[in-house]
Amino acid sequence: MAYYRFIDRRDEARTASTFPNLEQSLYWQNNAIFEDMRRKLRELTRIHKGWDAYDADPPNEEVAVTGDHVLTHLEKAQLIPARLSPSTEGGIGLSFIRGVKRAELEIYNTGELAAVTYGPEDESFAWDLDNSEAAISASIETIRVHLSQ
Amino acid sequence: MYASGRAAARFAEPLEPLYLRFGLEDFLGEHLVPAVLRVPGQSVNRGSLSEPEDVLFHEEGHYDGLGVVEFVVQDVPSAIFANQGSSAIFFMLHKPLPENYSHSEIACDQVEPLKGNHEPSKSVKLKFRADLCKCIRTDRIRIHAFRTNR
Repeated sequence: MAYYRFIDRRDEARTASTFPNLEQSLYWQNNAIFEDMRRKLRELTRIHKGWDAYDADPPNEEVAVTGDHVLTHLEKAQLIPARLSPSTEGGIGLSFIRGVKRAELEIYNTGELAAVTYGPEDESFAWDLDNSEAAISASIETIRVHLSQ
Repeated sequence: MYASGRAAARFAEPLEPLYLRFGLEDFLGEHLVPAVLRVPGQSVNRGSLSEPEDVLFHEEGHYDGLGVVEFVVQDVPSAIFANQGSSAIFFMLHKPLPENYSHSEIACDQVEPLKGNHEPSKSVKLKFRADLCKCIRTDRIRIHAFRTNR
């Protein structure tokens, strides 16, 4: 494989918009990841009660709707969860990780949402939120800032 | 180990191991995912009264292929102070079952003035689970999992 540089060109400054194929590739890659998560979200509503070998409830329809909404916000923000899991609290958990920084956003069957940012050396910070556009956007931004610190 | 009528014994040793059952997808990187812990009521076995593999015992083999990870009593955060709403205290409770004397649970209570009245808020419980997951690492796995628990 040959590597080359454009002579007298500041190719470091080139962005994805200079290479439309790259931009489209990243778009479709992320799109596929979020489509997979939406499919998993729908599948999780069909797991049986007691899926955790105790008596945890499966995520309900309200969680599926709110979860889809949250995934849309995350997709717009280009913040990709590392894992989508059922929560023993009854609902789902979206896990984020970047290096040693972590965050979790959980959506519960009760209609409640909560989030936490944490890391091995960090004091964890948790908060409750509602399912409004503003609360979800603000929480995603808090998670993004924590992960990028 | 059968309880055989024995009473519960107080937790006195901060370094006593606790054994927790987990599934194949329950770790992300080096740490357990908070969503797989339940509080209150997370079941564990006491290390002073059992072996790690006892967590996987089931007469019909329901837990075959699951893993066991160890943490210790002092890893359980004793109190969580909420950013919003109430705060709560957490502690280990020995709750022997007829067929499992070592069975214990993570319990919690509200601090005054709500003591005994309500479960903590979702964010308090999530903060507790995240803090505990900082201590539940892959290097403390005693038996590896080969399947999910779903």
